[in-house]
Amino acid sequence: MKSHWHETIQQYVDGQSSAEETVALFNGLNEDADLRALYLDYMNLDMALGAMADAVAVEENGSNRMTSLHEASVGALWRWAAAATAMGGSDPFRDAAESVQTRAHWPGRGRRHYFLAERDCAPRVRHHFRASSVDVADRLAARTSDNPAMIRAQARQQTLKQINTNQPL
Amino acid sequence: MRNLNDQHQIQFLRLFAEHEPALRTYIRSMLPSRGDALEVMQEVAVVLWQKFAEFDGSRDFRKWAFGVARYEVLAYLRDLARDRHVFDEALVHRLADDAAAAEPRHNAQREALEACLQKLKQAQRELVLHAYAKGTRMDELAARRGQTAMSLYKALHRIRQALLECVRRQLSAEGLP
Repeated sequence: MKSHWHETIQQYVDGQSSAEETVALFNGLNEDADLRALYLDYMNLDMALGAMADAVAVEENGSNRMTSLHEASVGALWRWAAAATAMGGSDPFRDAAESVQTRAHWPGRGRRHYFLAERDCAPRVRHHFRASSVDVADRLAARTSDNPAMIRAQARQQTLKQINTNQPL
Repeated sequence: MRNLNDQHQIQFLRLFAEHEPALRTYIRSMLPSRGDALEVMQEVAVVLWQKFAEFDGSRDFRKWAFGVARYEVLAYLRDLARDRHVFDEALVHRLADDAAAAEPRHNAQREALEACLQKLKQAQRELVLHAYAKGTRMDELAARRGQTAMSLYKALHRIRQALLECVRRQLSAEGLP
């Protein structure tokens, strides 16, 4: 296989390829199974890097903390649990921690992931989150703290602030 | 005691969490950008949840989810095709079939990626993770780094190619295809 395909595929991944390059890539993908395998490997890498980046906290001093893929998947689980809550009108948070053995990762993290979920979701889904944000934040806070009353009040205040300003926490 | 609805939700979350990375790659394979893939992924998650009551637990969840995802991607591409050059339907099916068959390899690659990222120089690792962070605009990132967008893309290409070669090498060393 010609080495230029690495460059061509990556330009396409980044939305940087010209119309001619795009057509050449489409033709190549139709005809060449090895090229399709390379293309799919890049697509897998693209999504995996996105998931890794989600899980990394970049600190202000420029250093970063690499979290594991396991933690990334926990983050993803939170997002989709939140989506399920919003769409289903019920509460899958209740027992999911034990079911996936991620309880240790939850305290102090659940609310943040909920907000990330709300912020990142597609427009057609977002209004479901908006409708239930305060309620879910209250219930999450009650479950993830030894002092639920205080955290619940803070959660409500921060949630309302976040919704009103549309700013991530 | 958990009621049936609770158990239903737990079963869905467990299956979805297990297969979510595969589903993301599968959807990404058929779409032009990660943004498109993430949008369709959300739609697919919602549809899967809504249809989960119809899912036969004796069946393979991943195959069922891939089937739902393929349908959603095709619908999305039909809308997208009005404005952008996208894969034709035959190529989408070809890529979808290949992606489904390649999932064991892709899963192994995802597992190898963490070690390969750690092998990068710190500056390279920070660059790639910044580039993939939500909300990053490449032109702004390039300006902050005192680079042109083109040179930033070139650097990102080199890093991704190195990562891909690393994960492929690692799988090969383990006797995987």
